[in-house]
Amino acid sequence: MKKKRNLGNPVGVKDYEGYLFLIPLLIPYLIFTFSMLATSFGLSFTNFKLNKPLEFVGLQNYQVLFGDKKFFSSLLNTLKYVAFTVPCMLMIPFLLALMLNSNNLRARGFFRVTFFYPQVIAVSIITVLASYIFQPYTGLVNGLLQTFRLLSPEVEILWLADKNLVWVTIVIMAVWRSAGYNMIIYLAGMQDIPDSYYEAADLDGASGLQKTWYITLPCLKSIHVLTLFLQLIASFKVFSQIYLLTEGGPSGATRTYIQYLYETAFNKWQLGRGSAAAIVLFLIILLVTRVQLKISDRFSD
Amino acid sequence: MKSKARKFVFYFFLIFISLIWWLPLIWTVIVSFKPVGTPLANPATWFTSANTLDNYHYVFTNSQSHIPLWMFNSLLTASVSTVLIVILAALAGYAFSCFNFRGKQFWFWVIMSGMMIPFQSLLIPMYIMFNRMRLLNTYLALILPYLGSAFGVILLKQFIDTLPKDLFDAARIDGCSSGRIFISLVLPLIKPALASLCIFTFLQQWNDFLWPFISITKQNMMTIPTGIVLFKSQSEMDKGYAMAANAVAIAPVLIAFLLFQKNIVKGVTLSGIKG
Amino acid sequence: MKKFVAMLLAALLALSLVGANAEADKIEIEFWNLFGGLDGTYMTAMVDEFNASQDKYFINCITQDFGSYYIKLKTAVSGNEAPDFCISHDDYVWGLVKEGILEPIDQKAEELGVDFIWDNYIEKLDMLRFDGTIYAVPLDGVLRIMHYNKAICQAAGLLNEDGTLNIEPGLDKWVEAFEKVKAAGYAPFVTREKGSHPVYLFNALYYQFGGTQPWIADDGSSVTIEKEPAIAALEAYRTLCSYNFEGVDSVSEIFLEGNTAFCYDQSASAATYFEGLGENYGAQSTPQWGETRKTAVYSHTFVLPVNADRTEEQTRGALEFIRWFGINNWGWAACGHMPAYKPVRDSEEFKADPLHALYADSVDMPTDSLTYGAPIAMKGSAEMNDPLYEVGRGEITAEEGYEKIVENLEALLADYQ
Repeated sequence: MKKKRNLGNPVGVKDYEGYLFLIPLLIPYLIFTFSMLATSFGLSFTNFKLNKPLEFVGLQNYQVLFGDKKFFSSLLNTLKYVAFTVPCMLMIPFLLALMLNSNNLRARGFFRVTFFYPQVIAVSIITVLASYIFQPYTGLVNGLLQTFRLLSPEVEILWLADKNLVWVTIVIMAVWRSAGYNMIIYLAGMQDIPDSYYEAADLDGASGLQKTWYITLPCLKSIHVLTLFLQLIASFKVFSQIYLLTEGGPSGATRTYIQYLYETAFNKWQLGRGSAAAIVLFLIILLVTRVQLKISDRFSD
Repeated sequence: MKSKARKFVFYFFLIFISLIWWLPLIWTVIVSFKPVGTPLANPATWFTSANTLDNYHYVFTNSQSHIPLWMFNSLLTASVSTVLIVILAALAGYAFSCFNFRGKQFWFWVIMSGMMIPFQSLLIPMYIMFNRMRLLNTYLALILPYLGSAFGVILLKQFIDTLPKDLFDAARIDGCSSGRIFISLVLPLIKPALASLCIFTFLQQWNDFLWPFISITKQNMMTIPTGIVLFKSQSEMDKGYAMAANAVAIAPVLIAFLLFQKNIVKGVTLSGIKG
Repeated sequence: MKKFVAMLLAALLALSLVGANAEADKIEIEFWNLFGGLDGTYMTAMVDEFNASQDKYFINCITQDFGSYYIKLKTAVSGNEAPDFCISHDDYVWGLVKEGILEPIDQKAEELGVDFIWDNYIEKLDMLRFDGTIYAVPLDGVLRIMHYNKAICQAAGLLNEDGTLNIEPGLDKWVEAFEKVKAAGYAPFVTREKGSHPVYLFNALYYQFGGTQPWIADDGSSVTIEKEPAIAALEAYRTLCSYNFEGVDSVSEIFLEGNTAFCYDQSASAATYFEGLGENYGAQSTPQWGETRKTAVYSHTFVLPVNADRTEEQTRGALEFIRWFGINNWGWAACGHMPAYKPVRDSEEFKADPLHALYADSVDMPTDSLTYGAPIAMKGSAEMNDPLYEVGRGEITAEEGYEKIVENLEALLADYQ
């Protein structure tokens, strides 16, 4: 059954030609990323410590991981983050792009800059800002709410110190920072939808909502898939923006998986176990993204 | 009449959200001009309390701070790595989108897998390798590790996938080689995607912290994010310094972004695929 | 446009070359520290002074981010890129020694003939010895003290005529005082419930309520925290937190706004508070809430990382600087820390300083309160902070808090075996 010759390339294209274009990327990739990944995999079976001889310990690192309560609680926290942010990061940027894509919008450039500019600022700076802004008693958010009488002066909202509310704060910060990123991708996609589609719909007397639902949304299918894919991976790997804001607190409520990995590897200097934790995350992400792509494929048929 | 009211509500809403989006930046600038301990939770106090330039003075005159040098390092390494990353990603995206070759799926997932492992766990092997290659404390240490970026490959592959393949076939019949098609057809058609990838990549490189922090120990090789921590302090008493340093770190990228904004808009709206 | 960019780049490069400072004929010694902000200003001034005071050595002072400082230090040592000497917190020294990152300082000093008078350093030095060897030299004692607002204390009837507090020792007396402040219409008390602060408050309480053993045995073999004092301390911690501003980090701002009577914070904040509150500012050493007067102190220390490239002359220079820093310790302690070099306490400058005078008696508080066990229970670590937070918020009882602390510390020790 295996087709030997014809790989389906256009006439006159040699089967190796793809490699010519791939190799410039492949070489640095294999040296600087893939070999590191392989090393990390190897190290996860050792008791690696920088200045001590390497010792093979089999699956011990994985056993210790699966016996650690913190491993599961931090994994759960990361799953929470994924569940909260991924839908927000698809819907809000889509709505923003929709607004910015409306005909005859004035100062479109200004609004584009508005929603995108937080991308320009380093995470470390944003978290410092956020910790000042969401502070009770002295912070901007509570101050504004009180100034405009939306909150009684005696009441303080504990944006960062409440175990549940802290997630709202984290999601707000993530949306504020990153919505513009996906918005730009959506916007680029929306600009590529031929005007004739909308004109045809106008002739049929479609409402704005209908046009969005039946034209814009389906036409951006490949972008939805791409954005969801990238957003899933990014959300699973969330670390510094939470760590720098809450240090994993209050009382471990926001300790993410990568924070657990980071602390295991670097504070406790258990580099082998840290590598094992990385491999576990790798497998989880691999699984989730494959499933996601499978489902997307099915829907597209 | 009804549409006017709707328009008004629409703009009001949009301007209101925009205000929320700008507020943190405005607040940074305001705090950076205030002496320590000024209460600023109430917006009325932003304009009534005294201003000072002390914070900026401190940031620029501190004997350890080499802000122009760090800017130069950041600019150089971020630009070079951005250009290289985008070129390599475009080539690979073209390969994955327009060609069939043995092991295509395999290589695609191998490249993808690089995105799925957290960088934190690659830190030590990476450090050991760069140390062996005697590349620590060099510009190459800030460029090489990023070259195999999977993100760009997926993004550009996805965009090239949407291009009409008939166009390429027609060009081939006219005798164009694959390289010719890439340069004269693919690149111009994916310009908007290239533009956004350039910006994303540049920003990522400019703001990257952990690897530059670990791989650079010499002060004259530091980048802006790793150098600026000098003004970050565990005490909130130094908020003014930190905010002034933040404002200094934000300003150049923000200005550059505002300047290039026009080009991006043009790139996106004049995209060759349309019509 | 291109020309403009090129010129800009050239100008930046030129500027940067002017900025790079190396003094050609001096021996350059690389020194890493983690002091940002105001502390950083004092450290830079000290280094500048040393560099100007002699013409053999040039200390190149590099400030690193404190968030990832120890990762950088450890990786740099393994890659032979370590600095010639650097700063470490006292509670990291034990772990760094175990991981083979540090070299003994006293042996090197003896070899190279740099004369340290070890007895002149604060008692802290005892716990920085491992198997009788000194690995770290403290540069300060970082104290927590009770800052107060005299106007509010006056209004609540808590002030003596000389400006000191008329609150008797004992937690119940302090609770009464807090209630009086509330009755007078002010907020009673503010402290941080994040970072290293909860651990220090708890540590002081633990020793005040009769703790005698450190939390972890000195050799790091077992958890030795005592149950009864720990539970009493956790209960007291809960009581104090119940008067605190809930979930707050911006303690200094709140205290400076002038509506809060007490602020438990580090002594180095005294100068800023004094500047802000003027004659209404008062301070005293950590109050006696329990049965005895004790406080908690930690130190920043100088350490020598393993570095094969360091020449003998560079080592000598580093040691000379460390020794000089001890003798001239006032230049650092002036920012509010307790001097680490005892003779400085007898100096005119120290005695004449009005702010240090307020809490100078911290020094006389019994020294066993200064020890910290095998210091791997790092100050801001989740092992201690998570249970403390939950006790402080009243989410779990003191007994449960104690059990969690023991469990966490045991898990921590297991990783170091």
